[in-house]
Parts: sequence; C-alpha cells; structure tokens
Amino acid sequence: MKTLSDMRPVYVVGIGLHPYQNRSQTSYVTLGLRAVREALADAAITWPDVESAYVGNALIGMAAGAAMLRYLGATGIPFAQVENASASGSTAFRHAAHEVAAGYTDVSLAMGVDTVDQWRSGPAKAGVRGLADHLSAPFTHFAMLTQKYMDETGATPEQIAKVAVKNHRNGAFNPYAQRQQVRTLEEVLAPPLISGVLTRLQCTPVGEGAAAVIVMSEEGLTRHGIPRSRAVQVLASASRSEQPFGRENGDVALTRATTLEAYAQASVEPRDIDVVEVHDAFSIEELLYVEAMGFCKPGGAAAELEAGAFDIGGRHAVSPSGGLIAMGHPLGPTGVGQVAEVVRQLRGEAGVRQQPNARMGLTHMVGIGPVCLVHILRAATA
Amino acid sequence: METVRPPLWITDEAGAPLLRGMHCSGCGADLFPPQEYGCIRCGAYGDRLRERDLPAVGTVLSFAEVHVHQSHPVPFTLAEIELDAGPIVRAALAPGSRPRIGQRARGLIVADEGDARLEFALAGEAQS
Ligand SMILES: [Zn+2]
Repeated sequence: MKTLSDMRPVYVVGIGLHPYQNRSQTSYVTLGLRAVREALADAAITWPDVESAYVGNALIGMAAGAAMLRYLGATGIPFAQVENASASGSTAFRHAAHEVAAGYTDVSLAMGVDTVDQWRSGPAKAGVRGLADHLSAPFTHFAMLTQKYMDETGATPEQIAKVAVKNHRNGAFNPYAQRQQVRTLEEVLAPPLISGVLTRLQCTPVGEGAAAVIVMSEEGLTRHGIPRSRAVQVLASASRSEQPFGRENGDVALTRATTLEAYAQASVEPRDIDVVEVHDAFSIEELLYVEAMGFCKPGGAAAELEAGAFDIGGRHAVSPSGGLIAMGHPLGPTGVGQVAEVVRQLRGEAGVRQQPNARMGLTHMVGIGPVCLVHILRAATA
Repeated sequence: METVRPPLWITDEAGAPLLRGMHCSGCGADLFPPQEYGCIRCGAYGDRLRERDLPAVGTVLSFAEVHVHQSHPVPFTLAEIELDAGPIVRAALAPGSRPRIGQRARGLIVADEGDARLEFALAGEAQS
C-alpha cells in the first residue's frame, strides 16, 4: 500500500473558518462560503485557481455541498461530498491531499460544514439491537470509560475535569471557538451531572460552523507564487477502521493503531510532535488518547496534565484551539478546523495561543464506525 | 425502517434468563446480539451462523449512573458486562445497585406493567 511518503509533497497553503457557534438561523451556505473565502484570501488565490473540492459533512444532506460551492462562481471542477461521521472533515482533507500528492491536481479544496440538523442514525437502519440501546447515549459510553479509567489508574474526577479547564482556557483566546470563556475547576465540576462523573462543561457543545483549507503541490506553489514560509507540509495521512479489539475500548485501540501508522509514514516519534489536536468530545477522551499516542506513559496522563505537560508552553500543546470541548464539534467542519489550527500554530501565527517553536503537529479524529484519522504536518524549514 | 425481531432473551426451566445469541462455526465465537448478516470477526454467514442461547451471567467491566435521558426516568445505572460466554453487553442494573468493576452480575426478569424486562443484579446484593 502506498502512503503520502511515497508520493510528491503536498502542502496546506490556506486556512479559513466560520466561527463555531450555537444553533442559529444562519444558512449552511453562509457558513461554508465564509470559510472558503477566508481560505482563498489566506492563500492569496481565487476560486478559479481551485481544481477540485471535497466537502465533509454528516448532517446537511444530499447535494448540499454543490448547492453551496456554486455561489463561488460555477467553474465546473470535480467535486464530492464526503461523509464519515465525526471524521467527515478529516476524510475530506485526506482525499484532497491524496489527489494532489498523486498528481491529479495541483490545487484542491477540503472543507467541512454542518448545521444542527436532525440526526438520522445510519447504524440503526441495520436493525441490530442490543439489550439497552435506548438507554445508552454517547455521554454514557464515555462516562463508563471514565469510571474504568479512574478504577485502573486512581485518577480522580477533579483531575479528569482539569482537561476541560485547560481546553476552556485555550478556547477563551480563540475567536473561532464556540465557548470563549475561562472556567474554573469549580465551574467545570458544578452540578448537574450528565452521566457518571461527567458534567456539562466536560462534554462538547452541539453547534454549527465551517472550516476550509487549500492544499497544493510544489507546482501549485510555484504557479501561484505562494511563499514557502507559509506552506505547511502534510507528512502523513493515516485512516483506519474497526477490528476485533477485544476488551479494550475500540476508539482507544484504533487511535493507537492509526497514530502508529502515521508516525511510521512520517518517520517521526511522539517526542517530535509539538502541537496536537485530539478528539476530546468528552474530557476523558483526551487522557485516553494522549496515552494511546505515546505522549506519556499509560495511566500517566491525568498527572501529566495537572503538571502542565499538555498546556500551551508545555511538552506537547494538546488542543490549543480549545478542542472539541471548547472550540466545539459541529461534525463536518471539526477535522478540517483541527488542520487549520495546526497550520496556524506551525506558521507561528496563533497569537496568545502560540506554542513556542512549534515545528510539527498532529490532528486526530475518531468517529462512529468506529473510524479514526490521523494527520501529521510539518512547518516550513526556516 | 427497523426490522421486527424476536425478543433478545428467553427463560430456562428455572425461570433464569438466557440471551438469544449465536455461534459462528467459522471462528468458534459466541456472539451477541444476534443478526443474520455475517460474523464481525471472520465474515462467515448463512448456515455457519447458528442460534445459541447464552447464560446471562458475567462480570462488570464498567458502569455509569445516568442523570439525563429524554424519555426514561432518571437516575438509572447502565453497565458494561462481559458475559462468561465471551460477548460484552450493555444492560441496566437493578435499581439501587452499587456496582464495583469486577463484580459478578446475573440477569433477572422483572415484571413491568404486564410486560417483562431484563436487568442485571449484582452478586451479593438483594434481588428485587
Ligand atoms: Zn466468525
């Protein structure tokens, strides 16, 4: 099987977002167009320069992407809408990067857009039901993982809640975040409980938004006069799905397998990664995933987080955007928004959220399936 | 559209619940819940998948007291239980359960307004 490391180099050269926000009357078209126009402006190119487009979304429905992009001026380019649950945007990014790397195009767009729409579960259509499906919600799934983690590692509910304190602090300084408010530990722990020890501020908010990135080949950079200093190379794209993982949580086992594959593609190790955007829809997830990715020893994440290892300025800045907990998780945009944050960090343009000397970054999304996507990006050489 | 399916459990002569699982002759695994599509572990299908009733007995892997639900009265406790037969299931625990991870649990049938439902009771706790 070929990987990005076997193909020609591919770079992210433009990023744009519509802020993630609570449900509103805003059309998804308005959300999406703002993100794309911002990404085009950031790359200093125009829409006719774009040779193909992938639109990630999970909720807005058939052909919605086409009905949005036409308002940029219909240029006739190949285009597809991509659905892969929470990882829809990450998957759109992977396909755009692969298309450029393979030489089909020199300039492609990956974006994600979603509004808060009716959730129709695909898996339920298989009609395979368990004993208590009607009682189980995602927050209860993660509440049970939290209980198991506390039992195995001795971590306390307070230590786990500190993930949300950190990520709200990061999100407070991100103008694109849905939650832009610093929260104390007391506020995060405040009742009511949702499930197990999880409180509202330890769960991602439901919202809407859009994110877009432009990817280019070397030829694209030259043709469009893109300064090398702002071109961030995509070193690895790994994508995996369910296997019989036995008793270990599927998302954690899948995260480990997918991240190892990405490290191998990029020939890097965990210690090389300065900035990480993880799928922290629930506070416990960040602790489980940073361990699975090798950023600390198994069972050590709660103490490391408490000691500041995952703060901006720490050993690895984890979710400097605020993550899914504070920046938000509007589904389709989320994975593309992670890439935008890592690119901003690797360009040194993240302002007060800047991780010092950030050279290498990693994005991680899991989604129902389960599926997992990991990308590794590297700053331009100074 | 959801396919109409038979109940997920029956009772043995003593009134204890049995889960209506299946056995895969392709890889030898007992599986739950039952379905006719194919084995998730090895892909075997058709007559290589046979019905097999599995004792509703196992060990608590984790649990959560749920405080928010759109239709079911709260709080209630949901547990992940590894059956002795192998499959991991999620089920409600009997009201008032105070679970620990690693505790043994056993299915029990509870009459519910003319209907009956299956929940799990923890070893050492009084059964309702
Ligand atoms: Zn099998």
